[in-house]
Amino acid sequence: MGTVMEAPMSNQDKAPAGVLALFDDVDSLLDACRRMRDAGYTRWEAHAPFPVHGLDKAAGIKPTVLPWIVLVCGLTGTGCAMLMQWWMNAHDYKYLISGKPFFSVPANVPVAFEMTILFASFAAFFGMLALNRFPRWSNPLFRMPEFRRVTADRFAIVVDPADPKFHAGAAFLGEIGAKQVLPVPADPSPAKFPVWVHMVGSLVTMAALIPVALIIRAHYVTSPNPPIHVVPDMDFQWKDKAQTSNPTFADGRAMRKAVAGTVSVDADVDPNLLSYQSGKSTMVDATGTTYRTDFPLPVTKELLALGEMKFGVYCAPCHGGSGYGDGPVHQRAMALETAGWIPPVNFHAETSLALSTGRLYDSIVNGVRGNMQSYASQLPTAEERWAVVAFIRALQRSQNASTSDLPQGMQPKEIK
Amino acid sequence: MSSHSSHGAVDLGAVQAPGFEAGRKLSLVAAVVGLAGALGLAAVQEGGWRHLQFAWLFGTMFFVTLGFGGLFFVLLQYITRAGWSVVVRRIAEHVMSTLPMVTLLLLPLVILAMMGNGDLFTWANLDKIRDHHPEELHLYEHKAAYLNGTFFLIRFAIYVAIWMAMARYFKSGSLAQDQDGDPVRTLRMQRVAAPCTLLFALSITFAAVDFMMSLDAPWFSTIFGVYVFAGSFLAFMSFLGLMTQRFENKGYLRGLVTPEHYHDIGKLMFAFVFFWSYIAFSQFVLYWYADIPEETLWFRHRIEGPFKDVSLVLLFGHIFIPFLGLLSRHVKRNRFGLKFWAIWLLVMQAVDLFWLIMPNYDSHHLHWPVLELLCLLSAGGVFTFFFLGSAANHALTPVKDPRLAESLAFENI
Repeated sequence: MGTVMEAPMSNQDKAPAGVLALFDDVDSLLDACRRMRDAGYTRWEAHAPFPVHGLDKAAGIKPTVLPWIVLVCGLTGTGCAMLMQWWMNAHDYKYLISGKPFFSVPANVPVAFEMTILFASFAAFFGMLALNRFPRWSNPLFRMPEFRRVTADRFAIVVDPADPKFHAGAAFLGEIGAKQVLPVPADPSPAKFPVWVHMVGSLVTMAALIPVALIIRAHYVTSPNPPIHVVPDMDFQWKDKAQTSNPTFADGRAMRKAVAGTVSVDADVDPNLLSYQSGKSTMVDATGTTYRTDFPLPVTKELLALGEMKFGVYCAPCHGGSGYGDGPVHQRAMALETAGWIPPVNFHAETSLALSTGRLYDSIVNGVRGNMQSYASQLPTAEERWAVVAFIRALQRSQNASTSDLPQGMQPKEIK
Repeated sequence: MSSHSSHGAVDLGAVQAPGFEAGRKLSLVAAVVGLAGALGLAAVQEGGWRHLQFAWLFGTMFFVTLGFGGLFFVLLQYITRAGWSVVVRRIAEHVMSTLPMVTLLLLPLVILAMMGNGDLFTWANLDKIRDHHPEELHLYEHKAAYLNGTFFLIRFAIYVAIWMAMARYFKSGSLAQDQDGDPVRTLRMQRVAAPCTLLFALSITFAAVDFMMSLDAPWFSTIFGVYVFAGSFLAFMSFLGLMTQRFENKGYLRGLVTPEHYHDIGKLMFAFVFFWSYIAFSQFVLYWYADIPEETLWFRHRIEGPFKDVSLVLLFGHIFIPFLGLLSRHVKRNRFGLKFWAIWLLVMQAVDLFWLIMPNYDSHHLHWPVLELLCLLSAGGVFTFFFLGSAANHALTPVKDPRLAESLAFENI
């Protein structure tokens, strides 16, 4: 056993914070570690100036639980990202982006990926700190001049007083080859923070609340000043927006139709399906145009389901989910009191109920003179367009049904 | 710390490979049987000759991509001055040296394209396009300056020349060092590895475009080369893990290769499972989002119709399942675990190449890939013949590499 250093006067009354044993070379450290491990010591630490291969094994350190923490947090990140995107895009603020479904997995993958990485890296970093019981404000070892050489050319084992065999530690360390065994003096630094740290902390916290308060204020207060445009050339782009006019063109529409004769890659070329102005039965409308009144395709469940899906994507924003002409775009226009806004058609009005199937098809392909544009490129095949027509008919039936529509035997009895 | 003077520690009996005569004979038999079977099947099948071209491309590309991986592995070890990998680098050098030979198996396809046969490379026969798909003709004509038989042959010759030069340079340098132990060779190869990596990246990108992307000539993807590279390196790392175990089971490399080396091989496999997924999804999501017909058509052939099932196999078998399977360090350090995932990922590389190539043959029908497997067997025979030929009568480890001691003592923290 080596020389024992006197503890400093100031904290003689406190129990030592551990026992420090110093070794001269890496081999005797590894050997001592093996013997500590075999003797059943549990709360102790080896220190070396460089990473030592095999030290984990010699010291009997079990594999860390950190990977599991990282895995669980990573999966939590994935889950949170999916939930967040579902809540934002498909629940709280449904907003159509390029005709994609509100909740579509491919679009959500990049955010889910980033959130997984973010949660996992935070878990790895903070989990590592927590498992190492960091941060610590002070470490009694750093007050020992002997310990400083562990960053240069000495190797050390430190036993914690919490170890059940701590009382025998000093003697045992001497036996297993320590060149010097010293008690670690208890930490003399006060356990409490100085008052000025509390003061500065409170001030910084209060200052940090100011921007938050300003943002909350802005949420409730109106201002006569125009908004500040940080990036004006992004806010005001040199382009025409949808549904606006442009005098360059003869018809004044900023949105251009596809070039005449454009055929979609998927276009159905059955002329019977395309010619909505001739069919087995036709009618002449008020403008003198002839439209078919029959339906060229067999109406199946699949066709109606396709129509419902396409209606939900392209028609419902204006015409409303039930077809009353009360979709969110219309409501927004009403809320903004948009000048010259032409309300979308209500499919349950009498004039709409009288429209022929051919006329509905024509509206989808060519738009309506008001402010509905052509949806030919969004609904490129004749089948999709007729599916939407079929679904409109089903909607109309659903809102204007009579008792005679019920199956036989289910008609209500007359009340006497 | 370990010193750098323990070269003599290697037991030469454990590294000196015999002639592998039996294995080479067997692989030649496999090549001939596979080829004969494929030719016979193609002769009796209706439209079999066209099918054979696709199947031949599939079978050969599998081993060409393994060669890509081997070449890149060697370049990577020199460019990063890697220490851990020295004991297994020689296996990569042998894989790399098969690349020019296996690539030459594609020569018949190149000649057919030169002769104007549009069965495989539709761009080779514009008259057929004019007759059957006149609406696409201008797309083909637009690319004709690049996609034409003569230029194709020239590019093919350039690829073979580049790969042969690189493989020869690095293999002969490493073998010469076995004799003289001159560390200057390592320094020289480190310097050459950097420009070679650039050349490698360019050559395999163009080769991937030429041999696989141009099958659907109107389609284009700027990430395609990276995609093929990611799959190649993953397949090679799997092959390296398998081959190292195989040599060890035969009694070679004993005491040189430790779980630490398998752990690193496993780490690279895991990393490239993810890298492949990242690249594959990046390619998909951009086309999915923009939804432009001429771009999405390629994916429609693969996610509508019978190839949807193959796409799902890739989604789960090439991404999710191996990702979770290789996540743990215990699996990477376990002999059976690493072997299992190496075989799994090699199968997935074959599925991936099948998915890239075969929808261009017929995207409406999925058949039992008998012809494809026969071609794979045949190309595999040729690959194995040259691989064992290269490995025969040389040390299976660079015995005088200046970093050998570092590699032997290598340990993961």
